[in-house]
Amino acid sequence: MGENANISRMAEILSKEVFAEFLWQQIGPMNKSWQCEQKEAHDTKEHPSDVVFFYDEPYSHSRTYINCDLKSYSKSSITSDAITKAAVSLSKQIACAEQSAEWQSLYVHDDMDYNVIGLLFVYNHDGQYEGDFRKRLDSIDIKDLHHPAGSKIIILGPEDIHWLDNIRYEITYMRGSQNSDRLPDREFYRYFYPQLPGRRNLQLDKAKAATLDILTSQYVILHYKDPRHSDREGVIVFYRRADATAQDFMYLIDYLRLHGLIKENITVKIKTLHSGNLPVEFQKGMQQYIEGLNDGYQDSSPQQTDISPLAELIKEIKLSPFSQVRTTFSDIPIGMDYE
Amino acid sequence: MNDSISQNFATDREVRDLLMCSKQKLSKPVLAEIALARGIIYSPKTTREELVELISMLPFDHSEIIDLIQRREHPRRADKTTSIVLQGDIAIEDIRAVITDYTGEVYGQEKVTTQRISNTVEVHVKFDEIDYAKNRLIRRQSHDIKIEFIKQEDHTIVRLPAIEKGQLVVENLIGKIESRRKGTISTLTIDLSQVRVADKRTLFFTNLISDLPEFRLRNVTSIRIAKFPIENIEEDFDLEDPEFESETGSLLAIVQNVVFSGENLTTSPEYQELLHRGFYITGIRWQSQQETAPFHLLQFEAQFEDTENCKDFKYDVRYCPRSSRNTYSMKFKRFQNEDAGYFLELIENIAQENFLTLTKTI
Repeated sequence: MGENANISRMAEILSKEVFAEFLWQQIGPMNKSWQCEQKEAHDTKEHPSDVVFFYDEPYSHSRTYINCDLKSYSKSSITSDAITKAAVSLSKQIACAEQSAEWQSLYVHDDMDYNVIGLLFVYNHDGQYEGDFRKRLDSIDIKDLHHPAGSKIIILGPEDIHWLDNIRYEITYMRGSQNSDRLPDREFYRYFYPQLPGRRNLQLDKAKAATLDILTSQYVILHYKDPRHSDREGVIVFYRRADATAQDFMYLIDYLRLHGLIKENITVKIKTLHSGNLPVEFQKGMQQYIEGLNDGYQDSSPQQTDISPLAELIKEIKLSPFSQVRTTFSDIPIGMDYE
Repeated sequence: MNDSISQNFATDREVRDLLMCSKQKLSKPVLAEIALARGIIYSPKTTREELVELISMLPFDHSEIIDLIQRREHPRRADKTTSIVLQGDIAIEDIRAVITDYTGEVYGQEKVTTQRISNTVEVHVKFDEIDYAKNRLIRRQSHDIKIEFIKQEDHTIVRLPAIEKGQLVVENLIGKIESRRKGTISTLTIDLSQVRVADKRTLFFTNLISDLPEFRLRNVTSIRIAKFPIENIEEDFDLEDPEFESETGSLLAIVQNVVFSGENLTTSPEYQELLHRGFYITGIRWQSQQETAPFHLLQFEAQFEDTENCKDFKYDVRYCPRSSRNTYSMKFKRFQNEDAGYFLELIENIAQENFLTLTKTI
């Protein structure tokens, strides 16, 4: 299979399996080149769009289009130099996409306020990369980048991809489960955005997808409604931090409480990719948080124990690790050349 | 800090205030670095204010919030040192006993640890200052101060950071020692408030820089000056006064000339003219080269906090090691722990001798 075919295959897997689970939608042709708008400055005739996705933003009346540059590197190819070159190239693509009538006609809906961001997807096809990918980004000089004001590029490395792929896998697994942890179909769930005091949640009903701001953070929170029991809801927190402490869990519990996710009709589960000491830290954090709640709490009824109803709900929160899988998106190098 | 944060989720507004409030520590490159740690690269055209807005909307977990708070915190600017001499023979056991009393007294508010090294009792006091007017992510400033009781034959030197909290702790401890001994302790501090002559106040500093044993004076890099009111006419005492600034420059040039030429300061007509107008030195920074191994270049500072009365004497020392080419980078750094003690003691001894000589003749 040639490189183009491999890019198409990788884009197809990502579209249908991974990002579909985060409620992203794919638009336009895959693996398509289009005319560069600044040929001299960018020193190229064309830019590629391996695949383009879109989602609606929760905190603005706008739609975000994600122009993806898919890379599949061996361990030894994941170098600072390679990542820097790829970032600079993607930055040029975004700068042009914002100006290009051709790109917009291929990928943008009519009559929408929108912004274009770049996603550099660096997959390690031999599964051998164990270095600190973030260190590979240190050599990127922001002055060499071209993407316009209001835009951004996101770089997902092997570990990020592993994390997101495992969330995807767990969601799929839970959807197929015959047990009580069964997740409903996609139409019944959405990713959670808190109301921000500094910004109104402007598209609460419309914005259901996990944005890249969410996917690059420590919490990815999925909120679903049980189609079988209209008053039942559920929250699954995918918590990434491998060395989370009791304080991290206390903070997470407070986050859930503050945003109205700890209620009688809501089942809360926290899922982590790592086990190790996390169950112990979670238990300590939960107990300390409840102790803080119960400071000064006395139920007037002598039959009741001295524990608040909220504390009872917090005790119901379950932490569990989810199994690790490794999906093969590509088994050969992709995207080693730069224009 | 961590308990209050972990019990209460930080809102985007609180994060924005945290990021916005320290332009130096959370500069545009630092904010870009925070975003890059998540793999996010905002446009190079994004302003710092826009970065603050964008980053404050991102979800942060507890560890990340603590990281942000720590990035903003200024490592406490190194405090200068001051000292008090407690006259008489005070037993180390008495000192340790009153520290134990103090530790119990402040339990829950301050963390006190003690260590005895030879004839010195070292006390560390950790405490927080909280400014409730600020949001909870930025209201707390943690401090750790070190106080040393250095026992000599017939007196004890108490060396402490020249800040209010240091003074308060030491006053408390001295009060406790007095109660324990059932008698007052006479103390000695460098205080030239009774010296009302400009040239004697200046002499205190010029002697200080030239009398350090085992050192060769290399340069005087800065001075602070003040002025007596002349003929009972009250004049504004303002360091920002451009005229005053000019006198500072003149006096620094005169002192530097004396250092380089080896001439006597008092023979300089320009110096005499400034003296006549009531000007005197209240602070000085100078560099002296060690004449024995390891041949460090030392940068000393000595000054009175209360410049009008020449009270609240404080001092500092930093060093620049000599390179293998016998040159100096002129980047001065602080000594680690006990290394500073030797040099601070030099200043303390010379300052005390000078002070006693000057006050003897009043």
